[in-house]
Amino acid sequence: MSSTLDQLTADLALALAPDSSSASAAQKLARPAGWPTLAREGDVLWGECQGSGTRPYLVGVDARSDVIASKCSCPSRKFPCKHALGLLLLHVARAGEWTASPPPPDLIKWLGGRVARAEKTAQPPADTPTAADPAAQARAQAKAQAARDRKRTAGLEDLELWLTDLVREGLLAARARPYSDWDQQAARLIDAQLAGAARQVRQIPELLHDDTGEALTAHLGGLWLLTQGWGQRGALKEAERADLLTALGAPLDRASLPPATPQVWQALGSVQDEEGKLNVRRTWLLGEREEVALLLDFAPQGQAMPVPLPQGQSFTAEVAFAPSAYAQRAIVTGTMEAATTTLAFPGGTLTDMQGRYAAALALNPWLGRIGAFVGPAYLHLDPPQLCDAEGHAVPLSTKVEQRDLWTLLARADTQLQTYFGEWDGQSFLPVGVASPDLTRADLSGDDIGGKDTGGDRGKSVDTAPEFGVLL
Amino acid sequence: MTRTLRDLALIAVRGTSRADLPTPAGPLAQALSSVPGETLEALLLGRAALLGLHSRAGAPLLTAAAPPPTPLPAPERPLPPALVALLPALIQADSVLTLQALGTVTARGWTLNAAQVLSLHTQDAALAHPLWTLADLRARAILDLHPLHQQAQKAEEEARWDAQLVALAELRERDPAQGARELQGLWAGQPADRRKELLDLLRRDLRAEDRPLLEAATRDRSPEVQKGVRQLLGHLSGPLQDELLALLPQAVKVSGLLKKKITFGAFDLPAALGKPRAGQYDDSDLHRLLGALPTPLILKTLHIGWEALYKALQSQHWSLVGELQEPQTLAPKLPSSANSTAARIRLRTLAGQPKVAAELLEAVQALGPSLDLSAEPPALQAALVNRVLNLVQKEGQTWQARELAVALQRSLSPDLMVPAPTPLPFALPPRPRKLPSWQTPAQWEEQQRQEHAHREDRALQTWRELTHILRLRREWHAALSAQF
Repeated sequence: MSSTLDQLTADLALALAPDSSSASAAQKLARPAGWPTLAREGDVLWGECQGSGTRPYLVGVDARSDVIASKCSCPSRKFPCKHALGLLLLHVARAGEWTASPPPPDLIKWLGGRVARAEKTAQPPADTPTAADPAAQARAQAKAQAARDRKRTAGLEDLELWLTDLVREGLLAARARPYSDWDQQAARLIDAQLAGAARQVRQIPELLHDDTGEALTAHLGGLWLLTQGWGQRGALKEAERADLLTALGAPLDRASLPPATPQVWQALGSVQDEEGKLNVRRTWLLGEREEVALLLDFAPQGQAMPVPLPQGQSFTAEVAFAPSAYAQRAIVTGTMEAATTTLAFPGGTLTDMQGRYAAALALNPWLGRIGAFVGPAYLHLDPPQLCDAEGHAVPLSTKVEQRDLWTLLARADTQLQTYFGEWDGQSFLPVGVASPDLTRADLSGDDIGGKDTGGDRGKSVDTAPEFGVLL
Repeated sequence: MTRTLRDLALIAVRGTSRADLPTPAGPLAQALSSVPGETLEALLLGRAALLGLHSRAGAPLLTAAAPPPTPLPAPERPLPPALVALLPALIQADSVLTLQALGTVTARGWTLNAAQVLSLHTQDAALAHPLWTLADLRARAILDLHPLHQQAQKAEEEARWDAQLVALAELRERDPAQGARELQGLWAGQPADRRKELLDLLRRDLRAEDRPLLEAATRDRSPEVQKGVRQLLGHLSGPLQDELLALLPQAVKVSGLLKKKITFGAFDLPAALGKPRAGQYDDSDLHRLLGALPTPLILKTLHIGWEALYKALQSQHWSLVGELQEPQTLAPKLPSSANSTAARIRLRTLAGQPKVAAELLEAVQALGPSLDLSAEPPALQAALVNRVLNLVQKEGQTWQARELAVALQRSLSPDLMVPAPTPLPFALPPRPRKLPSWQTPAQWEEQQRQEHAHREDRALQTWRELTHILRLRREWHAALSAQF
């Protein structure tokens, strides 16, 4: 794959921003007039940005790996700061006078330090007596696993009691509980290595004041299912057990994933969310055999995540699915090679989508959402809906802001589209869109006359560069 | 959510210690009955899990709120991609250049699609009207309910209104009687803001034919319009004006022969001028009287000059001067071509002079609508740029320098290449005799160095902005030429 910097677009650069105010400030800084120096050496960008002081800020961006790192002499504690983002935006826009000068000594030192740390991380672990002896290693792992299981069992038994007390006392009484009660229970679950259950407990306060109590009751039922599932885990199939562990918050054991054969994949788009103190990015992929895969990236808040895959980009790679009764979560193993194939979006009705979701839930009751294609379809502004050719509709997610919806409507240009998005049983969150035409519809409005070619299979197009990272 | 879940939730809200679980009923009865649980709580939670899943999996689909959009024909002449790509940079750089560019696009019959219109509008909402004008059929259908359309309609309405005012002013010059009738016809149906604008038109060009309108408008529902109308009646010759002129010396007392002393006395305001609004700082008997007479007539009646009256009124209350009109000295009006030629000659002269800040700006601005320096010799154009940069290096980013830089970046030839300014050597200015108590001589010197460095930075920034805009204009012209 070519250099990260060469593939970067303005929206991908803005997607690296830790918050919206950094993104806005960066766009204001992306004027050549404010940069006395702009330079690129290989995959390193650097420049000087004139601030309000006498000395300009020295800004450096290291794009030699998947994760773009930045350094700036400004006092901001955000990474990347607005100056680093502004530098990236200028580079993407090819604005300003760029030179090929090497970075100054301060930046060279920082870059060198990054190389040293990366090399140290890549070194194999030091030889230990257990590392040399596979049998001893297996015994150690089993011992650790047993200890984890004991913690989880204790944690879930405690959760079971807690849930029982909650419904015995009544949810009305629960409204009077201080927030610390929920936080304490969540903390106990974290200690018991049940981060997934803890996350669900932290969601309880949002549902407490619903008048009917239905949403909270269903939510508590979901937590109860976790406790019962753990108790019956011996009777579960391997894939079902894997789903249970994922729902409980066990990290994915990447090394144990079965190998995958390389095939062509296409990035459909990504969604960024906050889960507690973490930022989570869900990137959806479409495979040439029409399977859908979900990649997850995590980063603590305030820190940058890897550069997102550009929407519409095709590549050849080995994508291994995590064990699950409903295969969806995956990781990319090995390298990615750019591909020129454009994959067609499969269509479908909303009824199909609902049916698939029901089937998926039947296999994995802890599944939050699925990726689904709906098309030919269209969007409606007020009420915000996704409507299909059969006259059915589903509400759009509340994460879709009015201005985003206008952008989607504008890009559809009165034509029916095939939409890809996340369906969680209640609302649809658009992630990618394809025109039924065979051409690429980009901002330059290059769609060929909007001719309908018939059928509901559309070519994936690089529409709405800011679409995939809006939400 | 199903009724069954609702019933279960009712129990959960009250608590299993206070209520029993209902017997499973409905289509899910069998499934609910098979949920294991040794306690009421376990049964409730187990059934809640099942019902929650069922609710998520089986939520009924809604009916589409509207049918699919009507297919519309594709645009015949979409704006070429090369030009589309340059518009965002132009908008960010200069609004005047953007309007020129959009004007060119309109003139050539190109259109923008909805995504392009929306994207550019997001960058600059003030472009709503020109963007809407360029929107193709599909874009107009899609964005019909978007605030952009309303903004465009409002801008169009205001432009139409402005054009109507200009036409009305011209008609009043050509045919005063007809102009007065037209204005009177227009007056009645207008909101207060528009009536104020019509009143301003009358104020600029009051004629005897306007008396019927003014007399009819003395009871206007807007207090401000009413005040203006009553005052304007005093500007027309007649009994009211005579009455006000007789009252003037009582209200404004002028004494002294050589050095005039002006004071203000009490008087009874004629009923024709209405009653001043209580609590309004700019509405009093004196305000109404002064505004009800032409200023030259006031000065003539009181035998005083403008400066003396202005000073006296300002001392009395600063808002009183707002009721008068400063006498204009009319300069002889040269033909516009003569104006333009003279301005260019002056510009060439000034370009060669070192210290010409304000004069240079005046000369550039005097070129007016014909501000296009691209035809001037490159040496002159470069000299103008160097003058401006030199100005910034010596005096900093003054408003004249900023205005000059903006004027040059819009009017110079886009092919002009200007080298970066050569930094001026630092020369310590003469130290003031007395420094502020908080500043030592060394600190003062350091401050001078910093200010010098700051000015050099600003000059470099001005140069970068200028070359950036020229490059944009060059790319725009090249992209335009490539289309033919």
